[in-house]
Amino acid sequence: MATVVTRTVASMPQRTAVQTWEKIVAIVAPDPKSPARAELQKAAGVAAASIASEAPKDDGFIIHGNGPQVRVYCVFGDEAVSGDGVNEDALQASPTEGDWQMSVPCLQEDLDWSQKKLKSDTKRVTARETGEGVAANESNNRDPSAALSVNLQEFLKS
Amino acid sequence: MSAVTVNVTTYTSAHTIAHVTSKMLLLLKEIIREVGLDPSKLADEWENLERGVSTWLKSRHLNQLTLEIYNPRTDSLVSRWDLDVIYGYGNDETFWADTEAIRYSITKAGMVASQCNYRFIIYTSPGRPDVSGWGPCTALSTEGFSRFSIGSAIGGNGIGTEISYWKKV
Repeated sequence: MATVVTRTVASMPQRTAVQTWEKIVAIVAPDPKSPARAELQKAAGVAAASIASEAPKDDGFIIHGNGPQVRVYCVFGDEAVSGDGVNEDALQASPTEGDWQMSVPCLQEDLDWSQKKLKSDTKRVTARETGEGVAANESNNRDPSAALSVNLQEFLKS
Repeated sequence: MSAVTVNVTTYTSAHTIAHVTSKMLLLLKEIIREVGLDPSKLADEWENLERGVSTWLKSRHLNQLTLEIYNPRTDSLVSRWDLDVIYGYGNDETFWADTEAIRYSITKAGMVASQCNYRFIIYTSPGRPDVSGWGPCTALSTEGFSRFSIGSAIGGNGIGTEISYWKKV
């Protein structure tokens, strides 16, 4: 059974787009000296543009390939300031060790340049259009019992 | 008699800075893409831009963020977009940004050739704190161009932004 772990990060106006990205990176790649940190830094500009467009509101950053799939959403406006629905807790295990990939949500009008930019800068981070998913089974559940949680946003959509 | 709970969000100046900064850069992205250029260069400079804009908004030295679109062969201006900062704008604790107005205005301003390049200029008041990655420069001549105002584009509880573009006439 595929598992999905979600986190929800407070974004604008609690944080700028770059500060939001830095928080996301700190959650999914907690070791500041890890190769994943350096790899994710290459995607900072595209990720910040995605966040500024509020694309990750309903379509999270998806990290898959190592353990449960991790989806990181952002909240904006009053919710970001009040902290309603925010969950920035550390993950039980880093999803960016070993063979991992990240998918960045992008608005349709930003998809083409974002894909080209990420393709030229990084081999692990790609862009997808909002509304498009990454299959939950695109993960290696080395320890399925490690982090099983309800994906509330997906549940409420159904 | 039933009790009613009302949650009131209190915004700080830090919230205003974060909102206006991020939305100014968002507007740049919209303009660059809609005039037919590749926003990849903006993505490369996003962190530098954010650091400069947020620092100088906070110190209230930021007056204008400009996007210069130029012909790289002749180093001459092709088009220019100005985001003017207005301090003391709308202290009503609302945050907004109007990207649709930009898209509409771009149809009037016109597309540019894909071979064009672009760069960003920040105009500040004297006495600004230094920000790494930023240094003095000279803007390209606007001789032969006219400035057209679009109006307010961003509002953020005490700081607003008005946008205008330059077009050769």
